[in-house]
Amino acid sequence: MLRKLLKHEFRATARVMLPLYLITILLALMTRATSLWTEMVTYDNMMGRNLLAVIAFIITIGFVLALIATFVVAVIQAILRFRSNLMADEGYVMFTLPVSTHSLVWSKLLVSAVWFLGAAVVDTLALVALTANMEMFSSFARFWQEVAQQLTAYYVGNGVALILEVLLLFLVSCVVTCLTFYTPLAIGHSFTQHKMLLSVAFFFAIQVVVQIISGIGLMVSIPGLDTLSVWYNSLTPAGAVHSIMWAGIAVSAVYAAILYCITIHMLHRRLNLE
Amino acid sequence: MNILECKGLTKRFGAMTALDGVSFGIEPGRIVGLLGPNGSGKTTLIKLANGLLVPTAGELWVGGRSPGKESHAMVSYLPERTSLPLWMTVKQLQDFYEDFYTDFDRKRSEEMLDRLEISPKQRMKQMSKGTREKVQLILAMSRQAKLYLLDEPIGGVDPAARDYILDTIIRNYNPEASVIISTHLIADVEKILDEVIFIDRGQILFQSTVDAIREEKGMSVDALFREVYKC
Repeated sequence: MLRKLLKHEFRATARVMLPLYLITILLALMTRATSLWTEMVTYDNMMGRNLLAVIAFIITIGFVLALIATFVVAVIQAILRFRSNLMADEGYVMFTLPVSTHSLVWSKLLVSAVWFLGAAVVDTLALVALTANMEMFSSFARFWQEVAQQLTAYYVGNGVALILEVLLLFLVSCVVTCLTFYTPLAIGHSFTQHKMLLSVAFFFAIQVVVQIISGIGLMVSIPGLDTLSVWYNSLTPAGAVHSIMWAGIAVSAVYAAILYCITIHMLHRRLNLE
Repeated sequence: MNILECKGLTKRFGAMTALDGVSFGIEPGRIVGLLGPNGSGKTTLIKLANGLLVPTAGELWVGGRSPGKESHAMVSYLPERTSLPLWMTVKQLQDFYEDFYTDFDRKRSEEMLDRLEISPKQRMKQMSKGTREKVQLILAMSRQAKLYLLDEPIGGVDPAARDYILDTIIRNYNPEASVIISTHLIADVEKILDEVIFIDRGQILFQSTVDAIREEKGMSVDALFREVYKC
């Protein structure tokens, strides 16, 4: 059933994200085209140059906004989809489907993560389209070959592992980002009145609690820092990098798991669709 | 075994008690009117049966199971308000129902849509409120469910539409299934009911067959409703 939920979630969200991705790529190409065109116009034609400069400026501003929008819209959409599709009227349809609450939440998390990843890929491609030339492509290929060789040599074959760790950390961070909003929404909407106001209040309350716990955790760990430092210095450079990556993944995963459990509990035991 | 059973079912919203220790059972193959004035607890009861609310106390079973994904597969629910996503076309909604409900009869839904001249390409947001409600009803009644929970299916529509809706329910429900219709418009639904449950201020006043009311009390359900809920 999760597969079917994912299919419909992609269908619902793609109508916003795909046109946005397309616009970003088109604006990158247009920015590149106006830049090349400006170079071709001679200084004899100042009026033409000035007009082109204005057009190029407007397109560039649009392009920069589109680059930012791919991420901002992905986050806003993740929040709005959770609220409108589960916590508002559409929830009457979604929560009466023969699917588990886990599947409902995972479909939102996974699809949001894909759009975040998509935003990163599209923004990278757009920047490449803006600056790329044949020489750059060949030097880029050489650069990555060198990087791959260096990674393989320096980290003794751990280059691929490092890339996978970065990807895993990115995905866990996406899940954390979504749950940071889902959890207060689920708590706030379990009340009879002032659901949105309470959701915002719980959002800030959770952030405060996280800060307090982080502070306490830091203070508690201070006596052990020397031991940790000795252990860390004993590691190989590759081991040190992997340790940092896995520590980041583990901390994010624990935080995500706590938020996920609270969200599921609220949707399962305190659902209040009025 | 009862298709729907409640024992001591209670739901409170803060200080307000919406349902207060409700107990009853509904056998398969019955069309039951859940009757009561506005705010009597009808919608709360139906939402509890759908798992959209969690009881404060008491228990409820649908087909012997607590509300959850197994019971959702047995229940076809028509909410009191249009809850289908407005951006979707009718065809996309049919795909959606077909994907999630194995008992969804697509051909039947197409026939009903044809009769109302609703195009599958039409988006929900392009429709009037009345047409949206009809699409929602068609989707709900195109399932071969064991229990149909219809919350105010004729509330807020004109008399001609009421006839269409009641006709749709009668023509399309699975005869082995039970249908629970929540309403306060008794005169319109009385002709199709086998049984009634009168509910007021969160409590069941009584449960009886329509024939028993006519024979024992010598009045229609509508007349009895007016007498019971006289202001």
